[in-house]
Amino acid sequence: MLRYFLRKLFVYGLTFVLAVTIDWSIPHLMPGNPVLTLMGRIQIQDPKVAQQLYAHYMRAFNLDLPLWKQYWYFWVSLFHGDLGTSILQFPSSVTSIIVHAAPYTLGLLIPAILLSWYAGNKVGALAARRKVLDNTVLPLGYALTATPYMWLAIILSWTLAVIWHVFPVGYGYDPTATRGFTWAFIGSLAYHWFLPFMSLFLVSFGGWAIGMRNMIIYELESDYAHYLGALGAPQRLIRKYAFRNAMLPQITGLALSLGTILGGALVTEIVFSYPGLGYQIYRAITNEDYFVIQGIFLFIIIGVLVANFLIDIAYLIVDPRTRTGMMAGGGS
Amino acid sequence: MKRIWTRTAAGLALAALAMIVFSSAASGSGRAPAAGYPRDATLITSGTQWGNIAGTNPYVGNYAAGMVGLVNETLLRYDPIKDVYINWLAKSAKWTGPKQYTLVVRSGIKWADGKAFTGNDVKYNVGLGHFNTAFWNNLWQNVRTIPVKGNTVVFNFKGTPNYVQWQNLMWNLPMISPTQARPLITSSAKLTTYSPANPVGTGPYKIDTTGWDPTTRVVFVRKSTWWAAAQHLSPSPKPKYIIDLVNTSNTNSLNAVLAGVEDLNNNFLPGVNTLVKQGKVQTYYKSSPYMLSANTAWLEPNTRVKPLNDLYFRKALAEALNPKQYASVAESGLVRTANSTGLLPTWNKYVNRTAVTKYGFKYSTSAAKALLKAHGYKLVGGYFTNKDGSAINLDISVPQGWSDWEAARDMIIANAKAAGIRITAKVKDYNTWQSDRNTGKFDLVIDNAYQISDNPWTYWNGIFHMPVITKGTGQTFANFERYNNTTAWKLVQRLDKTPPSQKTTIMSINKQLQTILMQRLPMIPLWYNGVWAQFTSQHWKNWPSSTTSRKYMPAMWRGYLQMTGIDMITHLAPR
Amino acid sequence: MSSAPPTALAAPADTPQLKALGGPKPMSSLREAVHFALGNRKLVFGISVTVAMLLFAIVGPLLASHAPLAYGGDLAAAPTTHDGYWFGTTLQGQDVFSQFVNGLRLAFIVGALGGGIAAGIGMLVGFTAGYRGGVVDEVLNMLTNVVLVIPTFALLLVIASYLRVRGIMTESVFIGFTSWPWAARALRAQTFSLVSRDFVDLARLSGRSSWKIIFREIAPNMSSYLFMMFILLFGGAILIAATLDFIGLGPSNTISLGMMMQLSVQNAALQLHLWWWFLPPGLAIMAIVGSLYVMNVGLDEVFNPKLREM
Repeated sequence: MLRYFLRKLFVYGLTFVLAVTIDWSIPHLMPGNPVLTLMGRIQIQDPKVAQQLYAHYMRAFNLDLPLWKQYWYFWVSLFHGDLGTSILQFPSSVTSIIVHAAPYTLGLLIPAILLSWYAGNKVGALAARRKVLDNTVLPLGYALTATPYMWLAIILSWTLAVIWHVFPVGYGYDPTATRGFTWAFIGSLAYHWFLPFMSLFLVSFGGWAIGMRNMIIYELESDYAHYLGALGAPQRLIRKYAFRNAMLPQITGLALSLGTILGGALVTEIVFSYPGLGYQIYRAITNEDYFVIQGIFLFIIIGVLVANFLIDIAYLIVDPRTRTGMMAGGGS
Repeated sequence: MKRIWTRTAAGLALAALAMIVFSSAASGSGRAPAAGYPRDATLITSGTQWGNIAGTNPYVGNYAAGMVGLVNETLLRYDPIKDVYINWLAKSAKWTGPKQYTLVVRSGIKWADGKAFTGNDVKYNVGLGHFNTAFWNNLWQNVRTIPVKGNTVVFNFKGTPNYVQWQNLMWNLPMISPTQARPLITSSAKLTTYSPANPVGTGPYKIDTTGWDPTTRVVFVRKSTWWAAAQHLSPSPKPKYIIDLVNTSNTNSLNAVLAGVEDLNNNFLPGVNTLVKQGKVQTYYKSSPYMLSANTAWLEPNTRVKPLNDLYFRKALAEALNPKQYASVAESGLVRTANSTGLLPTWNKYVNRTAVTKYGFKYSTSAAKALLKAHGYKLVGGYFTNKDGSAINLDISVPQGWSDWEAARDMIIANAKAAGIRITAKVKDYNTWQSDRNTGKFDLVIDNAYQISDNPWTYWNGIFHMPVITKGTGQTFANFERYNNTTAWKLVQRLDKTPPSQKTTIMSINKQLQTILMQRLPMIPLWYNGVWAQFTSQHWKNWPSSTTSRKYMPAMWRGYLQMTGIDMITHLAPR
Repeated sequence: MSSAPPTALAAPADTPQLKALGGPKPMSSLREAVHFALGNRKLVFGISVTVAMLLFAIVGPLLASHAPLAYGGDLAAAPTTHDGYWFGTTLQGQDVFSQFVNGLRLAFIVGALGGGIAAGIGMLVGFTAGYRGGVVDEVLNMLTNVVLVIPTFALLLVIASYLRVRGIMTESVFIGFTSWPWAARALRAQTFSLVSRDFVDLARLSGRSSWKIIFREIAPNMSSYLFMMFILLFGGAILIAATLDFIGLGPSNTISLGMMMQLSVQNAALQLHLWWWFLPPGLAIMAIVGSLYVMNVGLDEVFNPKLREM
């Protein structure tokens, strides 16, 4: 078991270093100079003054140092929790931007991921044994999982928000609400959260339901299932074991799906103008806001690594074979 | 047993969730839950704040929209529709000598902290110009002394004053509180980062710090007294709160206006013309062009690049274009086509009709072709080549995502193709587009850098400014087309140094500059972008309209509140 | 986007059970396979929808009366038989039908190219790791895991925005280069199970080179598996491309289904109720990708007798 964890940690550590390096280097490869952009917005008339200010900002942002030094300082400030200053939203710090936006995105992602996984697996398992249910769940599941996230968001927005006015069309909370720990404010948050959450939930739900259904059918056709049947075990028992075995790939699948649902959250936030990380990174990219791109990307990477680690722990708990080191083919 | 518990827990959680969601839904019938700012006493606006609010620095950056005008006011104001200056914090302000400007501060004005607004406060604010990061630093260099006696402030200049720029400064410089600012603004860098959480101003509103959320909104709350209302110069504004929302996307703003979540929106919203016809939103004009004009959209050529350096090529290009199509299709009829001078309707009195008839250009593909042929360009395989035989392939770019400009750009390409000029579109995001424009890495761009102001000088300055900087940061604020014309530039400088009393000289210089523009075409005017403004009467009525006496600028844009935007707000009445 | 990738395929890779079963059987006689294929409703449905959309994509542009990006039509007009604007016009007067069929074409190109590249790399890495084992396997496995964990969508976002001019080829290549890890994983596991079989040992004894063994002995035994994997990669590539296009990182100078959705949202199609602009692209993607997934499950049932309909 220890070997399993060490192995995982090594991979994650390696991934982290690689990801941080990529994260640092890609914005540097972007065309354009972010300091010039900042200057463009200040609009200095005197060229001498412009040059002075330019030099000042280049120093402040470390952009006049050789590349390897910039890379080194990047790691140093990372460990100090300093992710730099935004260019577009100067002088807000990147950390403050992330801190303001992250709760919205996490508030969408975590319930959507967990609930869709749970509900999808349950419904998929149910569908696997009842033909009637199967005939509706199957096509619905396929339709949902094949739907691009933004399209479902568009449809939900159009029907429920624009045409029937049941839900609001966007924003994080009602513009006139007072912020604070009141039921009214929480209610407003929930009310604006609902449609973006639903669009993430529904698409993921389809995928998990289909996956689980197929897995259960697969398991029910395996040798051990037939063997148990031949021994006279009740269907319920067989199904229980089938379900347990089918869960395993679904757990790994959860880790694999993080990347896609993240993309889904980004476009959903755009459609609903939800003030989360997706929206911020979108604006940062279209405005070449170096440090914000780096900061949010890093935040995403750390989040995904943590989530993967948690899922690995869950897998360990669920699969007794890993614990006893009987995993064939290497614990990777 | 365990399963029953987990199921119950899950069920309860879902039920609780449903209750929260639907109780808030029910209490608002599709709109918002109540607790918070009372909707009927709140004016909700949007369309100015692109991106998170960066603070409250009134000079630079993404400061909270509405701050200058609602919180910090200016000495004068300007009405672009009537073309008059309004004495505001200054009771009077005029040139009292060839090198002297005298300003008398109105009495009875108080800062939000209770202190009186005096002549010394004016001196402090103008004096901030000594920092080289201040946008009026160049004007400051020309100031010799500023003696202050009570409420009378006299500006004595070293050399001939820059009359036009100075006048422009008087209605654009926000007055910030010296008590608040003096300890903090101690260097030029600090001038650009000064950002108090609760700025002290003379205006009718102050910032409500409890509602401040940089990713979402800024909330202004009305002060109990306002000098302008007390002295009967303006009605007292009725909205107790003004909330300006951070822009996320154009269409969500449109949704918000239609749903009554926003009262006023200053974004460009495609398809607004249809909505006005259906009576769902209102605009300043009831029919095309629906919007007042805010700035000119030009086709900006890089005049250092072959063959755009050839006057006749530029002329031919101008004649190949059909701006009427761009205005009516790309911009959905929400703008006016520009005349050949490019001067905004607000400056109609400076437009010389004879010059326009004589030197202006008209849409004519055949004339364009003939002009090119007559000046040595050969038609090879449907496209013209340079005089030396090399192929012509110009690139044109607009900020990515500005869909109306992208549509116009494609129409320009098609028009040019019909006249045998090959142009290809290059896709660039806003920052790349802007820095390429500044550093000269472009052939053609559509641009609208010069805004409406109190004097066409700002336009001429933008078009003809010299010297052209070819290194480093490049052109940061003017002459992106890199056009060298010493005569024109001298005229522009002379215009700035002409006292407003010499009206004939002013008209003559303007005529000469127009003529140079039309004859030499450093830039090709296309259409006038609008002061995008759509509003609803679901919560507030008496919006500006061309058919009423409320001919005000319906915008919260930076620089517009101190025109007549504040009048728009003070004349609103609750539904 | 599919949240659980390769549902049927994740199973074989990760469940030790299947190692006991020995993986997919060598293909039964062709006639038997075809017979089951035609009888499998899912497969028939999936293939017919996909082929129909493909034909539409090929023939459609020839039927369109206007160029996709050309202006000139009435603004925001509803679908009509007049003048060939069968799907109506956009807010700026462009032909939606023409944009739609052009987008369909691009979707198939991205799917084939992106899916193909991902399949290719996946095969390369998976076969090598599975066949060689040992250190090579460890290294490749590490590489696969690292690329797997990095949120590739965010990565694509950053990379794509770095490019000034984007083409459909670059988009496909990038998608291909980031979608391969799970395919490599699945193939590696499969290769492992086959490598220990007798016929492979025989081939090794007879002195064949590794690559020849891989391509002559192992791959054909997995051909059905490979085909299904390709189908899933194809569908996945289409979804990723559509999402990238929607954000604004689509190919310049042309119009794709994702871009149609983006432009329609940007131009207030929802508020102005221009349903003909945003419904067709989304429905088309749903149809193509959905039918591909269904086809995949059908194929699984055909090739794996144990799954055949109860």
